[in-house]
Amino acid sequence: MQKLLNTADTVRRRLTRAGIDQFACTAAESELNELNTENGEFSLLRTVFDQDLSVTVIMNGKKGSVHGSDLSAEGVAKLCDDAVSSPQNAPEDAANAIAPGEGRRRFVSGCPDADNPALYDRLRELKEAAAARYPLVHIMTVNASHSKERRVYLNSNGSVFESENGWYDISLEFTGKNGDRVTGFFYSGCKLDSLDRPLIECGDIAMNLKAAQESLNTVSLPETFTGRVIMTPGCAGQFIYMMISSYLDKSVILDGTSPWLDRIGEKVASESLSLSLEPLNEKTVCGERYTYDGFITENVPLIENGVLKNQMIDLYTAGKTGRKAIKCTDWSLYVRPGKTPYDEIVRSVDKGLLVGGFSGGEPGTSGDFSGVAKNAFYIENGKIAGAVNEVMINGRLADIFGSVTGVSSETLCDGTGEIPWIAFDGIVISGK
Amino acid sequence: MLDDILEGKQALFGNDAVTVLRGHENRTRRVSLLNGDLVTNTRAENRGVNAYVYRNGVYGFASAAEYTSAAAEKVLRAASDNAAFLSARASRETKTFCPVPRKSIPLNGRISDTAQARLIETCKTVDAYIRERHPFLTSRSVTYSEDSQDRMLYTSDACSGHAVTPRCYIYVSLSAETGDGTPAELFKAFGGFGSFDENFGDPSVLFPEIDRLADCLKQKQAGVYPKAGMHTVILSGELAGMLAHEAVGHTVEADLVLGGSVAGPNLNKRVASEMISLTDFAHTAFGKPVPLPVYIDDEGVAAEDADLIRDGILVGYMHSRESAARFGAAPRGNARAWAYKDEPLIRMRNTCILPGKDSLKDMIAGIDQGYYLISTNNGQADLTGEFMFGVTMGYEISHGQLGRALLDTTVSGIAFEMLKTVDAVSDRITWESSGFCGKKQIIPVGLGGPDIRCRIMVGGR
Repeated sequence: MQKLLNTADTVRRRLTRAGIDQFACTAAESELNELNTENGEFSLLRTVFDQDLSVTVIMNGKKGSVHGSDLSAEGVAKLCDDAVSSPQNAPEDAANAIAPGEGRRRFVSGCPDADNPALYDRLRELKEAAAARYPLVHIMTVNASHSKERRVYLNSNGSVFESENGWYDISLEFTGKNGDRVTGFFYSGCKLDSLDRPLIECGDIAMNLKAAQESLNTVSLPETFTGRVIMTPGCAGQFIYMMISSYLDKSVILDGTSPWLDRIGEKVASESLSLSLEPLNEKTVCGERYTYDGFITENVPLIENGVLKNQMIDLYTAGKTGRKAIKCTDWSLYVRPGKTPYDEIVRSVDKGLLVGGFSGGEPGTSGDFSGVAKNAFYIENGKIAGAVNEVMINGRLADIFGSVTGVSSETLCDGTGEIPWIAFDGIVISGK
Repeated sequence: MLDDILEGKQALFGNDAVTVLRGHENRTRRVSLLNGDLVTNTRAENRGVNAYVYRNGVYGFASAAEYTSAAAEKVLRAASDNAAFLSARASRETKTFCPVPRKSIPLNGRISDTAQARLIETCKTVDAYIRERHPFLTSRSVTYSEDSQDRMLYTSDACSGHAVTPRCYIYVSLSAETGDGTPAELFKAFGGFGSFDENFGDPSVLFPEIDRLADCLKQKQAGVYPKAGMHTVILSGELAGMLAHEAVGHTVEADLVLGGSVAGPNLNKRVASEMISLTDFAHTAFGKPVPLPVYIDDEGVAAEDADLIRDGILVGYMHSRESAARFGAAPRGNARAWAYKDEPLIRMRNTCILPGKDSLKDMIAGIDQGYYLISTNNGQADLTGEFMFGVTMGYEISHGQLGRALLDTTVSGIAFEMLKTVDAVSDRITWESSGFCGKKQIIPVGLGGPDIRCRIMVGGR
């Protein structure tokens, strides 16, 4: 850590000598150890020794940023020179700013050191458990890694933040497979701060392995209708992120195209929906502790009981629009669970789908989405009837978030957030 | 550009392993104006070295974010240790890689740098033109994006070489409102392989295309949603290229074949109309350089074209050296990595459906009711061959004539079923290369194709 502190201090001295009075820099070093399996066999152990220095300067209201991996004395000198020249020809903009000073802070979270033998053992256990419980599932790849990271952030207003984090990332890609018959891709993953329990019990891994096996026999839907769609936590999370990007992201607030531009304090979604960004939640593994602007992070409510509470306003957007900046740039999503058990939500569906994933483009500010329902099951008369293929779902995000008919009491937590099952009305379901 | 500090390290390669030592730099430049405000102004250079060791059927990889002699030795040791850790615990059949020519691939060009001030000035010039000429817009963005790669590698039993892939683009995105106040958007990417000066020395050459984009957006403002369902459509070359990449290309990457893709049981069988042939080009197609030429991959294999579909028959896959050994095929240089911290994966390069003989005019005239779909902004595909891609610009076709413009929609299908419905293929090729393919790592890819007429599922209202 002292080496990083020295590097950051060198940057501070060089920029100050160059007459730059507004700046921020981050010096970081990390080590990643990653085990890979391919088609059930251990194939690769990968180690990445990494480092990075990023410097942002503001000179007469003009802003520029540079990044590099060369932390030698010569590398740091060159990076500082590039930083000083980067704002040339940039327009002056009074909204360019550095966050106010927050003093000296230190953050430590997660598990600092990799345990490759233990990780290998947990992966081998996962392979065996999956094969025993879900024999018709073929695990194509598993990437299991430990990351260890140290960072120093320093800005011209006196903030100095040191952080040390360590965490495990597990991600799987798999299919149902029976002879030549295969399902589509399924993905699962989780972020962990220890290896104290079997991986098959973490996140949505077991749920999706089961769904893959049950998806082997699919039928096409021969019709188009408007119906109810229950989204699994993973799929609901996808749609919520699309909603945030289309309606709340800083870019659509900045250019004024968001349909929710001036709706803070107004109802934009069903009353049963409350969601927030919570990097400080104890269930969030190595969540953000300071924003890229330099604020100390806070949890931020986005929608409470259907009412819009905040938009994704960073420091620049706040300066440009007169709105208040939120102190969070981490998308750790928490959706408040409902009071209705999942089984009851399924029973409420006359004709609709249970959808595990969505393959479609980003909707844009219209919020119109159109894409393929992945890992999907048909629901008829309150019962899950079977897996379907080649089904598209279409609609508008604002409409469906205003038509939430069920939020389950059960949730799934994967170390980056916690989300229930959510049922939406008003989605056009098109079969072949 | 990278200096050669690696050649002498070959003496450190283990005798019982296949080893690749690679120096790699990624250089990025980004300037973004949103309604005239500069919201992004960044420069980055990330340089490092890695070693990739294959021993006893498993791989060890290690990388460092420094390009020095000491770092090269460190990663060679760490990669070897990693292979040893894994092979002591896991048994995996050792494949004997087929011999590849051992030669030195010469440097294919240079990466030149442009001052950030000039990048900003060019974006401001383009932005000012749009603001003055097209006041009907509700929003506009102009983004310059450059991501150049510089790679140097030495191998124990394959080629060595030094290759550069400079590329830069200006993305123009325009927004307006439809009659009911809903946003309508269109974007276009300008640029390609080469330096800033080669692509944007005179930014005014972009202006006619920007005017055409704005005209299309005006038509889209009055656009309609297509009817959801199965339709006869013409996919433009841009969409045919996306199809080639997403719907076919991924399923014939050998690692996905081993994972159970639909291509596995279909080798040497008919998977498309006999009008369809598809190749993953290395560096040259139809007598010209392809958008993103590859001369040597990141396993040291000299790059050659990979034929995938010929006259509707699936004839081959894309390979790494290991998968080629598993299938008894020859590797063609498809093992690529994005950054110094990345191991090579089987990736596409410049995937293209070959042109036919039909004219687009005749193809449109041959449709009673259908659609002409022109631009896309993304696509995804599945192991089963199920694909989707977003369509951002298109037109109705009625009685052989183009009609109203379309609002955003999506098309989907099962590749090897849809391709059998192709009944016309145009005689011109459109290439696209501004995006990235994602698969554990991003990688730049080129994709191309002619206009093709087919039956496809269209999402709508």
